[in-house]
Amino acid sequence: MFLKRQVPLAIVFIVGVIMLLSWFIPHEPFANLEIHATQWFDIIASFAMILGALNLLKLQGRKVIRRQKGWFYSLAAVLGFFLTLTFGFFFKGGYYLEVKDVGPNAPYFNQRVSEITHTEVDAVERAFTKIGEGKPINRNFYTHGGVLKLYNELSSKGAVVEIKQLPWGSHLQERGTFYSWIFYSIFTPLTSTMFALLAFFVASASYRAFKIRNLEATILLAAGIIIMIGRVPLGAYLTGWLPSWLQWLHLPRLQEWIYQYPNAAGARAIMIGIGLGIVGTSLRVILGIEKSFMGEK
Amino acid sequence: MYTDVFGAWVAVFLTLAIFSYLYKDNPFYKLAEHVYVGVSAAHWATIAFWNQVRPNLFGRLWPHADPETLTGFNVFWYKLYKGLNWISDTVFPENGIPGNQEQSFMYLIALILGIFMLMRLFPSIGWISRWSLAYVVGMAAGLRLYGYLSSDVLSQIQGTILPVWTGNLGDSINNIVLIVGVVSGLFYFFFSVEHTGVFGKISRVGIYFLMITFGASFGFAVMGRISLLIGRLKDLIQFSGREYGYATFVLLIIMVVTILMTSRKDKEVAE
Repeated sequence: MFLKRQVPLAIVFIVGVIMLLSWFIPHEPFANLEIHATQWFDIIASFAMILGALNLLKLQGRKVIRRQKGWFYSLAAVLGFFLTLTFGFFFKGGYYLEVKDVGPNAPYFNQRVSEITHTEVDAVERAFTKIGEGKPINRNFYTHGGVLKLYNELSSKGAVVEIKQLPWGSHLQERGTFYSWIFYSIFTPLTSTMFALLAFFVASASYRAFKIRNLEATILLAAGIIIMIGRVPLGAYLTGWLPSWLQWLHLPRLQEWIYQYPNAAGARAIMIGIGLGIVGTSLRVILGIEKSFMGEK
Repeated sequence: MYTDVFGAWVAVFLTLAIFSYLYKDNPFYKLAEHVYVGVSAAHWATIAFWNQVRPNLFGRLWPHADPETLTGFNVFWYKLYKGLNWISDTVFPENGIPGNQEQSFMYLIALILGIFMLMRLFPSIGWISRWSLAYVVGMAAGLRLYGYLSSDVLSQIQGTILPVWTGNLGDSINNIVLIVGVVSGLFYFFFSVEHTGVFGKISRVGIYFLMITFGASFGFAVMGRISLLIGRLKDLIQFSGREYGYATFVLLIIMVVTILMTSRKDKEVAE
């Protein structure tokens, strides 16, 4: 009981008080505490993300093994999970060529590199004028076979090139890696389509809000519509004919005013409310009054 | 090139599968939804590992070091690292994690708390993850308490203390709008007093200001979603070309026919 209940409460109290003190004592040992403590926080949060992923695998995997209802879909989730993990940790891709010397056939080299990197020939020529110890061609290949083709082609024209591979870690950001393939062909389309679906549901929500017909709903919708129309060319077009003394009704102007003043006022009130709420809750947590994080009331 | 074309087909299939939900819940949507769950869980775990755990945790415990220069405890310490290197030499390359981090054994505590967090997977010892959670909660509470007090409360109040007459009518009106909006909005959030009489009227004005804020947020949300929708439609148009094997048209026809056939079958079964 002591380890399960008292120790976590003590940790919260000690860590909370130390962090609070570090704001007011800008000297050692508190000076750099915030940097390290937030770094620890990020590391533990990363473990929490890994925990979440493993937990999902456990639940979906159990569904597949027990052949529960919808196990086929769970299998898709498990396969997607392992595919991403495989490309994240085992198969990298990301082969590229590093140029040591353009060689005697520079126009051919510039033309070919311009084609594969989709850049102007002049830009390629400028980029490879001063090579130094070596300069990479800005195009990554998924496979060794793919880069080898280009290597042979450029080498046969006298260019001195070397096949290299992106280091682990950068394979998450660079194009031409298997991980980037997953990201751009699966993750991004799914994420943006999921959120884009909301555009349709928002339309039906707006319709319902219109039907309520009270002052609050009207103000909400009017503000939303003015902000939306005022930020696209249609707004300027619709109210472009207004005489100079009515310029304040010009939609782009009106939306900017709404955004900067009434909207900011409401947002400030909300922020102050949230801020006070967080201060109160933080104090309750540090003092051990709020224990919901332990699954207790 | 083949990878790009295959990628386009996959992207089109998943996009259409999600959009098919607009008709009704169907197997294509369910499949895409589950793929999304699996891929995004692994994606965030991978990102967390490569961007946080490896450089900031392992990179501080075992920064890259020349084996010749190791002395004292570090000789033993880097022998332990060889075990990790043996498990995976891509994740844990020889002689330590590359980068410019300084060695800090303090990060052992973060490693231990991280491992404790993973213990939640095992119900019998899952309680120990409370310790890690306690650190996260305590740290966030201590750090945010002052942070929010400073940025969300004091700075906002300071920003609202404005002159009601600036010498310019327009600016003065703007300042008054801000002051009235913030004060009346705060009146609305003050629940310790019943909202009646003068108090009720002021809080009603606060509601109007809050509605304008929610309306603006609504507008931005709609615009964001619409731009995402435009992006998806642009991709579908791009991938409907010959160079991508008319992916959009082919997959759209296959999916529409399949969904219609299955719903017809479902109807027959129901009857």
